[in-house]
Amino acid sequence: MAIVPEGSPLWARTVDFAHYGGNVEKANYLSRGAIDALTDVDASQFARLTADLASVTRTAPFAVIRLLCDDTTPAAPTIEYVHMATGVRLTSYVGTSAPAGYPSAARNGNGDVTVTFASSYTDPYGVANAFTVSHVVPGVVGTAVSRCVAEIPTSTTVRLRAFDAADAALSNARINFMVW
Amino acid sequence: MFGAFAPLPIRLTNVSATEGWTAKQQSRVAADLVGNWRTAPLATITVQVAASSVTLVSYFGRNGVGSAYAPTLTYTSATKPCLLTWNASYTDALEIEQPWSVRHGFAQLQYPGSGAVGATVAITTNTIDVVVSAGVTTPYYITIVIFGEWGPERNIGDYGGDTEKRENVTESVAPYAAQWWRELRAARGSAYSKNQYTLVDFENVAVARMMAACFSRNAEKLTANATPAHADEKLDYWAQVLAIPRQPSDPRWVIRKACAAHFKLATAPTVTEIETQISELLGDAFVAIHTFEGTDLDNPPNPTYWPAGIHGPTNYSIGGATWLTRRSHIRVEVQQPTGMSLAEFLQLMEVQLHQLLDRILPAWVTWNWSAGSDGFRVGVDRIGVDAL
Repeated sequence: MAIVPEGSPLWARTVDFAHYGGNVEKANYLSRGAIDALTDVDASQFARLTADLASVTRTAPFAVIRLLCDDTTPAAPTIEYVHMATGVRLTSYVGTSAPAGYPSAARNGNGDVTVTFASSYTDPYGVANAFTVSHVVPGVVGTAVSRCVAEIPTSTTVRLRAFDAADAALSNARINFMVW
Repeated sequence: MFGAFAPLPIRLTNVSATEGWTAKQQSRVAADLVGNWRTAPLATITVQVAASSVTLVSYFGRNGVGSAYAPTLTYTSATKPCLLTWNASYTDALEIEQPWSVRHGFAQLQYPGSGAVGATVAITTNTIDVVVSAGVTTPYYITIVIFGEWGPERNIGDYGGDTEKRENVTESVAPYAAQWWRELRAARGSAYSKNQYTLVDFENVAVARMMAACFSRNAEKLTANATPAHADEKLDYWAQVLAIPRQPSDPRWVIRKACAAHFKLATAPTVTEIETQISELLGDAFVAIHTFEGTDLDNPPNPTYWPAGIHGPTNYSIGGATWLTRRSHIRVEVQQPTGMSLAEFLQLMEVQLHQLLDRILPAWVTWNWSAGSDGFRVGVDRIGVDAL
């Protein structure tokens, strides 16, 4: 019988250290601490592990993505690298042909793209949870000064617009961004 | 449970929220650790730019904290004040050298002055070149956050996770050592102290742990090692007996999974059993198996070859003639899971799956695997002499 883990997947942001087995009253059996520090895990050490893991789980990005706009053709941007809590993809793909589980991307104009995530993702144990974009931090990759602004049009889409130093739309911009 | 009566390995139990760790909780830890590992920053670094130099202010990296772990800083020019160069690999806490790959970078200028200023990053192999607006008054600070990979991709199996994880039943109420300790304390009699933290008590605990290890856990280990799905010390034995193909870099949970799938050969190769075994071996890569039975027995599906009827290619002859029919063919539909590299995927399909089906299928059954609902991909899907 397949197991269903405690709590919800990372991107639900409902994590509590109790989901990992943490407890403020965590105690060693019959109050006996570790005999050998090299072979035993003490209850207090385990409690610290659960508290710290819950802490980083609350703030870890859901996705970090790098894409390259195609304003020459013009066509949908190429997604170059994807690091998501649900999987890592190091092989690039065209935004309109996203592999299962990875976001798609469409071109709006020069240096202007919309990235679309699924409304729900599944963790390694098959537990699904809704995903809603809460925060976006974008940046431009390149050798000239430029900037990128982000907005969240819907709960599952992110719009990114890159500009050059003169505040003109930046064609063929390479953008990377973080999503929570 | 935790503590002196419950030495490692930690045994999962659902008896007490304050003393135990359940299988569900351990599973959540494994899943979230995998997720965190994928998206947590590789490093956060702040530098100070002066008139013609750049200096490190702070560095927090997965490889360590402080200047000893920080990348090399190089000042190029006023608009390219900071080139950060990381090593190709760093040694982790377990003293294993792990490759370091920078994929994403963000630079934020901390500029107290006015005017439109910005910072951009240029990313090449393990380098970040920060580009800032011309005319920014020094000194100023830049914070850079980078993301990427450090070592191989993580799996729940690396943290002891398994979709079939469950609580142990033998030590769930009281650890073996505690049971032995009670026996020892009662057996010692009234001449010995029963107080805690005395020499007698220390001896009782130590002997109880030894007896628990020798007489209780070892016996349970013997039972567990009798089947590959539960085996630990004998896993290499099972891998050898079952002729499981291995690579030196294969983690033990991968070998265990393969052994468990191969071990079920004792049962008859029914379609259901074949599907179960393939599913266990391939995990997320498995989609379905397809058979071609048909209903018209008088008109067998094409191609069907037999000596008295339609003669098949001599290349397929097993001596005397070719016996081959699509009815005895199985197509395994698979997919490349997210996070699994093509090399790992092909090793699973071309080596692991091949060996499994080669052993469990009768000689008259042929098979192939394909990605997608039908057809094949040139250069990737298995098409060969055994494909119809």
